Amino acid sequence: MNIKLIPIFYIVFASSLVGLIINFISPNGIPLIKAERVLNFVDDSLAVTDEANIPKETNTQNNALDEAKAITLKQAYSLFNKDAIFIDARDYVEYEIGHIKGAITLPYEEFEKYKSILQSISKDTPLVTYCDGADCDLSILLGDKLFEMGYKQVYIFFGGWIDWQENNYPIESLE
Amino acid sequence: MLKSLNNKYLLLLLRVVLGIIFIYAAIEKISDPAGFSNSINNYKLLPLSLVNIAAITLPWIELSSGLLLLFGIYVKENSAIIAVLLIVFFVVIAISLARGLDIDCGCFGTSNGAKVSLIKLGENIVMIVMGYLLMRFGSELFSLKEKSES
Repeated sequence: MNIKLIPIFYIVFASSLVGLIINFISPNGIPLIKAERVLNFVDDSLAVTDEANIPKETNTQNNALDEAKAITLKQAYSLFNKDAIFIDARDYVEYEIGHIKGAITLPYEEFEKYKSILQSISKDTPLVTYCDGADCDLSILLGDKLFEMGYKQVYIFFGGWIDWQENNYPIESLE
Repeated sequence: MLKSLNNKYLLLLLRVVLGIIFIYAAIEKISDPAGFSNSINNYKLLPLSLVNIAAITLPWIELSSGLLLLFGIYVKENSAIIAVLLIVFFVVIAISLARGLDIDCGCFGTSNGAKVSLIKLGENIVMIVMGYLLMRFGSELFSLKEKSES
């Protein structure tokens, strides 16, 4: 095929160099080494062990977090029984097939299209994001995004749809 | 049979189409490096220390190869770069599908929102064939580098 390797080397090398330089001077630039997103769980005060006795009027207004934090299934269920809004980060079709009871749909990958749903939600409302389960990152990505938008109580229910279903907690589904 | 595809107009068409696809894909990724870095990270195939380096350099390699291909400069060499990238993308998408990952493909940046899917694999195969034909036959019609490599 008569392909020369030297030009290939130069093209790859020069392009990479340009990329690095532009990344360095650009305001959109990113660090060379990606910081790990360490998912911190909220402390256990949120987890009400006796789920039957959760007072409905529990005040969650002063629980502003310093970042979107992960919650366990038990904590998620506790929030479910309070006034938290569950947000399904998966795509709309998956949401339609089945979702946590009362959850709203806000697919992370079509955020711009669906974000108007947030207009009616005050920034103090506790939000719980979830997706399929431990293998998916959408709940974390959406949680971080919502936190950046000013929602100060964003919880990431990492166990997600799979955990919720396995424990027979309330759902809404097509079936 | 392959010889019949050695038609300068067909090769020009392939060159222009593949060049434009790569330029478009590159610009989408360059405009949102953080999003593209997340897309790469979601594949869970690269160590975290290499994710951002890939997100920073890869789109610029795509952009240069796409532009040079479009203008007919080092057609065979740039087609080779593009073909190698496409084969890597193919393998990565195939692995993700096999692992059942439900993630954004990141193929054209993050704004497009397409998921990894069999269709993406099909698109890749078509583009790999296009790249292979250009690697094999080159394309010098309307090339900025006339009578290049002899």
